[in-house]
Amino acid sequence: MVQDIFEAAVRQATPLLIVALGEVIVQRSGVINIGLEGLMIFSAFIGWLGSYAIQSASPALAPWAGILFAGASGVLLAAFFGFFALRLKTDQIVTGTGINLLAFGLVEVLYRRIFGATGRSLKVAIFEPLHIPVLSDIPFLGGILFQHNILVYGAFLAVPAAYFYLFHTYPGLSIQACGEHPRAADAAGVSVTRLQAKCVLFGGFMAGIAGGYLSLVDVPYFSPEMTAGRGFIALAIVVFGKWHPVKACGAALLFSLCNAVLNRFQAIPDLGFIPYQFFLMLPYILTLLVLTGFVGQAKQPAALAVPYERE
Amino acid sequence: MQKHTGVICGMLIFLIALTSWGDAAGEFKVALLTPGSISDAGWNALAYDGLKLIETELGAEVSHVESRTPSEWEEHFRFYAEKGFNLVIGHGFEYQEAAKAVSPDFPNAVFVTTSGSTVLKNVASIVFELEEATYLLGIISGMMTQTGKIGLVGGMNIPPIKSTFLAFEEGAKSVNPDIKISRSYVGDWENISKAKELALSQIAEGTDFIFHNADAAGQGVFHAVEESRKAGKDIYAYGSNRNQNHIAPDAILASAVIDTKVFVHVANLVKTGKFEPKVMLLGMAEDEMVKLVYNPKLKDRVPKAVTDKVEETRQMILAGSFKAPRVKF
Repeated sequence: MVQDIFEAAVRQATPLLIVALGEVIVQRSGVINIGLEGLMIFSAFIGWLGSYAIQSASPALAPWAGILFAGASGVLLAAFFGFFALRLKTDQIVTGTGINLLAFGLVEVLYRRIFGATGRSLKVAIFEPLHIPVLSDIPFLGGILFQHNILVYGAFLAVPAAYFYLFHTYPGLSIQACGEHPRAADAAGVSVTRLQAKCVLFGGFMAGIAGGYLSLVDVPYFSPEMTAGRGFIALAIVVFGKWHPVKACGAALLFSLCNAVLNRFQAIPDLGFIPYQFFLMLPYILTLLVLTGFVGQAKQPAALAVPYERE
Repeated sequence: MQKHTGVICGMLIFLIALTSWGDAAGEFKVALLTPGSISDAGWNALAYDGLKLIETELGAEVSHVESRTPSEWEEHFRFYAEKGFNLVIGHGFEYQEAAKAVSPDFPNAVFVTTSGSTVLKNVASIVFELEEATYLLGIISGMMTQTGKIGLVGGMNIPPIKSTFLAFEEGAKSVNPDIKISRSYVGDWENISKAKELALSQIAEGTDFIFHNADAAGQGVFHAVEESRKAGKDIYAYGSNRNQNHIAPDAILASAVIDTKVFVHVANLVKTGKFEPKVMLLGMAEDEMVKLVYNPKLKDRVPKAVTDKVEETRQMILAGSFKAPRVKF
């Protein structure tokens, strides 16, 4: 029973982790993109569409093509955000909100245009689990950690990579400088806006992959609102994780573990007397309590959401 | 700045012109308000299909709008009534209050809510007796379960869902009094992954038959059941509202179906002047407006004793000697 729950937690944490990692980098560079929800639904759709288009030709390649489409569509929409936020220096919060609205409208219109108004519950080819030899045979831990999908392994390997990149490489430190004191970074020869643009595109790519995870790994179906708030939860995870890849990973896992436990509790017939809303609410409250209790005060990058203008 | 003012004025005039479309009188016009996206392949899609059928079969002019929040409900009812629509359908029990509030101002329009019990001079409700079909699904589950545990996955615990679940549970208990029943709710109607996780949790608890009533999110239940079947577990799901058997033909044993002709039936009453304000109960006995549809591919998995029992109960429902339990709302 415990193994099932941990396995479910890892599975559910993955999309949150992927999109949060991207946003950590984006926000570290001094830009806040709250359009993650929109990026995710857009790329979940385009990725799913990609797999749908290719599956008859090659079912094995279809999910890979789909995930590429998903990442690319995330980058595309993020570029749109970047053009407004970085080139035209629009308010980043308003622009991000616009991206969310745009993406949901666009997806609904395209979906109805292509598949007819009432939806057809079409199934696409998705990634199959990849059991890692030897490691997946370890009792208990093997099931939790090593019987997942390739994207899950990728997401968790990206955590130390992002940590190392941000804190131990020159470009990573430059990104942080852009977020803390862009003028100083500029003086030191860093091209602030260009670096921020790169970060925004990377964030878009990650949000795209996370969106693709929903419709190409988790389930083979698409519904025009299937992200169900994950983009916003990821924003909270970035803050709870104090803009730190490893801590954000912890926050995503903690939230998903609460979810997994309470999903399981809902399924127990003898607990049926408890209102289900309680089970749905508790992960948020528990995560809030644990993180405010243990993590302490978070300090955001000093120049977050402040458009940088050279004098 | 002045140039911009001109552009904005032009756009406003265009918008106002747009809203006055379709004022021509004389034609039979039907509008539909749905609480969610019609691309859910479930509850809302059902109504939209019905609307399209009204268009083709009755030659009516039709219009649809997504009407999600309480503030929109009344506004949209009023909008269509003002445009001269003869029949405005609010697709859900939540539209009752708005229909009640608007109806006195538009005595020539008919407002119908699907489910609900509000009846006025020009307000009525259609109640799909889907419970009759879910009761039968309960019987199948109760007789076929090997673990003695069955499950329900709903979107939210609102009366129409509660009612279909109650009938399912009663049906199962009627043939298997000791059966254990899990009830899980997604919290919305769209979160497919969450519904999948809930179904997997139920399966891990030993559930072997799962009925969903969660609209688009229900697809997650199908996926969970398919995956578990691949892993060698003997588990089945059921479809709801529409015939969903084709979505996961290896996992869905049967569907509890509302026929879209329900909508044509009601629209025709209004069109021909035979409309009477009342709660219209439409179920199996009414020309099979509600029915149980086995998945032809899996029908042979159902033992004859089970299909016989189901058929026997169905005949009792048709004859009126048995009423499936339902929640009043």
